[in-house]
Order: sequence, then structure tokens, then C-alpha cells
Amino acid sequence: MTPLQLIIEREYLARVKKKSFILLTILMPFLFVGIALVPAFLSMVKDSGEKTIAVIDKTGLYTTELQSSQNYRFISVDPDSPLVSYMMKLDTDYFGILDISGDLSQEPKAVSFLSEKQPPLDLLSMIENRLSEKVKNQKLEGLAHSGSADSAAIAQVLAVIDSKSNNISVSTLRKDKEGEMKESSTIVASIVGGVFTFLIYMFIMAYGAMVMQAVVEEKKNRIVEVMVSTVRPVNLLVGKIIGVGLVGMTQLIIWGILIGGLMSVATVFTAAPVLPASGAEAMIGGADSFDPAQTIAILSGINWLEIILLFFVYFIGGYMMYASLFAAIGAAVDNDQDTQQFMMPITFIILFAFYAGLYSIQNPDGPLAFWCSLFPLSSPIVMMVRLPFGVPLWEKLLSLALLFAAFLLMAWLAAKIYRVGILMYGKKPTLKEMIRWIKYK
Amino acid sequence: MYYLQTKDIVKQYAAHRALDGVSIDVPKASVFGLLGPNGAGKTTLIRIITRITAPDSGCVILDGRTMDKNDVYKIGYLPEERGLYKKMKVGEHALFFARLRGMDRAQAQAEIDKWFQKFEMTDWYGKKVEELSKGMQQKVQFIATVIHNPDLLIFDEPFSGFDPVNSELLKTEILKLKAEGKTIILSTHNMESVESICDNITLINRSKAVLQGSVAEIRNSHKSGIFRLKLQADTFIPPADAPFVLLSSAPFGDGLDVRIRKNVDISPAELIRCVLQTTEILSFEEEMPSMNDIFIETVKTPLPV
Repeated sequence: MTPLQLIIEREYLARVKKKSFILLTILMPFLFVGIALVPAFLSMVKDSGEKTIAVIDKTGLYTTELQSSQNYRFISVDPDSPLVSYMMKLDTDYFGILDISGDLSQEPKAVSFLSEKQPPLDLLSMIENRLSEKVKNQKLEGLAHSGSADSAAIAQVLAVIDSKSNNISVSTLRKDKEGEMKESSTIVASIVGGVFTFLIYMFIMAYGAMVMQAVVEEKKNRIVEVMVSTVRPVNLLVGKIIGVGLVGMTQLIIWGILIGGLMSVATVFTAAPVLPASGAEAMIGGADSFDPAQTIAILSGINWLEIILLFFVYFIGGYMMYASLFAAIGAAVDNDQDTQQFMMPITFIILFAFYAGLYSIQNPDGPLAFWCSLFPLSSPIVMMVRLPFGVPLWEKLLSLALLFAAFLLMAWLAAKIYRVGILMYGKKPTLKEMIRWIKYK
Repeated sequence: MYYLQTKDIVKQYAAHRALDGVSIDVPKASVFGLLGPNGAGKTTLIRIITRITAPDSGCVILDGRTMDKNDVYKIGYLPEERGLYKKMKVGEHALFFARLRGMDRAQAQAEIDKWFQKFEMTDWYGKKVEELSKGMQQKVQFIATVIHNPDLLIFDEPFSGFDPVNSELLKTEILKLKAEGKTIILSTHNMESVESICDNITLINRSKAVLQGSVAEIRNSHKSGIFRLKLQADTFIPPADAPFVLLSSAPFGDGLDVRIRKNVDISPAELIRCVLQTTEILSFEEEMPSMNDIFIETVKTPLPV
């Protein structure tokens, strides 16, 4: 084993074997799933107000399909009046407008939903279910009228029943304050983006700080001089960063597996008719509107492979870059208190990136999201928000190239500062002195 | 044959010149004392020898050739400021250091068992470092320094924190290493241990090597002609024209203990003759200057500009 491998091994094992790590890694997913499920249950219970949805059905085919439920009332309105006249009444008379402009069995995209607020998932899934059912029937009827039901026709019927083209997906449109219409994301995409952004932010902060702590600890402990007499400081630095990073990855992967497992268990649990029909049904109101199968269908529409792959790539780049910075800080100071002053600007940048990410959820293609997903100090965090909505390839490549270039630069600078800093005790260095360290032989 | 030499090492830190043309010659299989007041540049020199930092100019020669980066495995360095990973187990820690210095696991394990037995600490093998006393930790550090059987050993203040028993144990081990043919550099402020184990020294003061040579030679050349005599007498009053000066006298048993400084132009034999004229002498010895005195005297002398 080379010294670098030995250091990585030590850093990794020292952390992974800790009781606190094991506990946190195993317990957190349960907490996560708990937190995720409680609002889902609550959403089944609340929502007493009835929402009115205006249905503009230019074909006249679908109005009858949309039966009002406990929570939603569908009213058919005159399809010949201009759309704008209904939009005036949004949020006062109507919660939303369902605009069906053509025969959905021919043009599956001829339907859109307009609202001022983000439409609830259960409403969309209910509309989509009913329209899909109708389209399926339409197609089957069309087939029936085409001629006798020979074996070929039966095969066609089966194909129609299985076909995904029956699935009507309502594109949601949102009217913002300026009255401008923008196509809004589905909630799921936002949630997925938000979750990954938060994860990357949390891990960069937590594990970056862990690297810094480890450097300060080694310096305070005075073990560092023994170490650098055998290994090159840059190996010690890189070994530490990689070792701690692998700990982070281990935790992420275990969390991913556990949360995935728990979620599917929870989904099965909520989907099964656990509550006896009678009183309980009334209590939880539109329980049928929380359709886990539907959610899963939406979730499976997202390009998970790409997101997860890029998540790890951005995590590695972002973590290594910030960890290098944190390590340089740790090397420059003698004790934990002194780290505060140097950490401030970095914390500020990461927080900025985090908030930029949060705002980008609402506008994943706006200038803020665009520039922040290219700028290397914020790109790992902000890009995560944009990925579920689709990002052009060149932007991804440019963003990654910039990130890894920045990481190499930071690592180089950090190695220079680290090498000198770890052997300096006493006075806290000024920024000017740290810059001079970079020039030392 | 010198095992280690440094040639005109210069190291500048911003406005401060830490080393200014320092050359040392360390003979093979000897104990070499690196002395000097705090801040003189000893640690910087050691860091250059251990390749922790690079000199601005000058070079380090190991075993007859310029040192390269693989030579760090031939060095065992025990820094003055030393620590251990507190959460690691003692045995794992020693193993980690041994492997870091290029030993394979089995080989390292065998060496560790040997040293742990020698230092009577096999019971401590599975304990965490933070559970050890300071002296125990020092032992682990010492083992970590010598575990890979290096040819050059550098100990910076190795005795600090050790009780007299363990200090003695350490001294014995250092002399054993020397007998095995290892070269040892000892940086210390403990002048007594310099006298007892060092063969040669270099004294660094204000970034320069100001005094170099073998301990015996240096002590000889710093003799100041002071003699200690035990006399069979109640009082001792030297005659006015005596070729010596009486420094002190104190009663000792039924005799007198005196210190005198002879004039430079007479020999010790003449001094004895002179004293014998009036008093019986019970014992007579020349007072060798201690390394402590030499250290203080040298450091206090202003440098020639």
C-alpha cells in the first residue's frame, strides 16, 4: 500500500467505525421517511374547502367524465368565450381552468391546466386518470366500429389497453402576478431537485467542516509533524479529503438504499386498505386522492440514472473543492475558535448558493439559475435543482469543466497553504501571510 | 566516515533568517548533540534534514550522496511537538506508522510485538491512545520512531515528560541503537544527558553554528583552571604571593572543601606543591566545565559582527 492509500484507509476506518456515525447513518433514514410521510398523511385529512374548476371542453366529449368530488367541483363553461375572460376570475371564482382544446385520443397534449397556485397533486392525478380512462374507451370504441373483431383486432385491443399513449398528462400552466403565463414544473420535479440540492449542500458543509476539524485536530495534537516527516504533506491532505469524502459517500449510499427500501415499504403500507371502510373513510376525506401508485408513476418518469450519476459527479467536484478550502483554513489556524473568522466568507458563499438553489426551483431556467449553475462555487448546489427539469448538454459539460478546473486550482492553493500552515504555531496568520506561503519553496 | 552532512544550509522566513550557512558533520554510529537556545534554528535544521521543508540554499548529504525523497524511510524522527491519534488503539497506531514507513503488515507486527515486550506494554495493545498516561504515550511515540529500523534517528527533546526510570530506559535504548551502528541526532536542553551520551555536538545560536566538536574536546578547551581540593585543616589562608586565588571554602567533615583558580602560568603540579607547603591534601581534582556552563557562556558571548 502506498502512503496515500494508508492515509485514506485510516481516515475512512477511523470515522466509519465510530458509534455516532453508525447510529446516525442508520437512524436518519427513518427520521427522513417519517418526516416525508407525516405531511402526506396530514394532506389526506385537511383541505376542507371545495375548489371549483372551470372546464372549457371544446370537444364536448369529456365534461361528463369529470364528476365533482368532495374536494373539487367541475363546472362546464362556454367553450366559445375567450380564455382570458375566465382567467380574470382565477383565484376568485375558479381555483383553476381545465382547457381541453381537441380530441385527446388524437392529440394527447391538447389539455392543460391553468391556475394561480400550484395545483395539488391529487387533483392532477384525478383528472389524468379520468381522461385516460375516457381516451381508452374512445380508442376501443373506434376499434369496435372499424370492423369485425378478428384475432388481429383483439391483439389491437390488447395493445390499446396496454398502450401508454392512453395516459393523458395534463400540462400545468401557472399565471404569476404579472399575468404572464409560464409553463411550470411538476411538483415532483421540484421536490426531487430540492431534495438533491439540500443533500449536496448539507454534505458539502458537514463533510467539508469535518475535513477542517480533522486538520485542526492533527495540528493541535501535534501529530502532524510526525506524519509529514514520512509522507508528503500533499498526500496527507489529499488522503484526508478522499478518506472523509468516502465516508460521506458511504453514508449517502446507505441512506439511499435505506430510504428507498423504507419508502417502498411505506408505500405498500399506505396503499393497502389498512383502515376499515366505514367511519375512517369519512375521517380521512378523499383518501382515494392520495394515490401512491400515481406518485410512483410520476417519479419513474424522471431520469434517475442521469440525476444520480450527476449528483455524485457534482458531489465529488463540489466537496473536493470546498474541502480543500476548509483544509487550508484548518491548516492556517491553531484552534477551533480561530476558524470562525476564515469560515465566514466560505459559509456565506455556500449559503448564497443554497438560497440561489431554492429560488431557482421556481425558475429553473432563469438567469440566476443559469449563472449560478455555471459558477463553480455554486454550481454543485444549484445545478441539482435544474437537473430534473432538463438542462442542455453543453451547459452541463461547461459547468462540470469549470467546477473541476476550480477544484484543481483550489486543491493546488490549499496544498501550498497547508504545507506551510500545519507547521506554524502561534499567531493567527493574515491573508497576506497566507498568500506569501503559497510562494514558499 | 560521516553518515550525515549538511553544507551551508540557508533558510529564510520572510524577514527572519532561520539558518545562516549551517554545516554539520555527523559521524556514523555516534550520538550527535544539536544544542542551542530556543528559536536558534535547531528545529528548522531538523525539518530540512527530514525533508519537511526545503532549504533556500545548501544541501544535505546522506551516506555520501545527496539525499533524495526515498531517504525519508531511513530516518526515524521523534519531534519535540508530538502527538498521536487519540481515538486509535495503541497497537493499530503503531502498525499504521510502521506501514506508513514502508513495512509490510507481517513484518511490522513482528517488530511491534518485540518492542511492546521490551517496554512492558503488551497489556496496552488494545487500549485507546487517550487512555494512556503521558509517559506511556511517549513510549508509543518512541516505538513508532524506531519501528522501521532506520539508520538515522533524530530525537528532539526525547526525555521531556519521562520519569527518571523511563529516562534511564530511553538512554539505554539510545546507546544500544548506537552500538547497533545507528546514527543518532539528539536535540535537547538537558545538558546532563549531552555529557553522558553525546559524542559530538554543534551549538546553534542565532541561526549560526557557533560551537562544534567532540564533547571531550570542547570541555577540555573550556577549562578555566579551577580546582577542587579537600584539605586536612580547619582553616586555609593562602599566602599573599600564592599563584592562585581562593574562590570559596566550606567545612567538610573534619576537613575543609575549597575551590581555587590557579594562575595561567603554573602547572597543576606546581599548584599542588604550593598548597602542600601549608596543608595536607586529601583529594584534588580539576573541575571540568559542565556543558551547561559552556552553553551559557557561548550563548551569552556576542557574535562577532
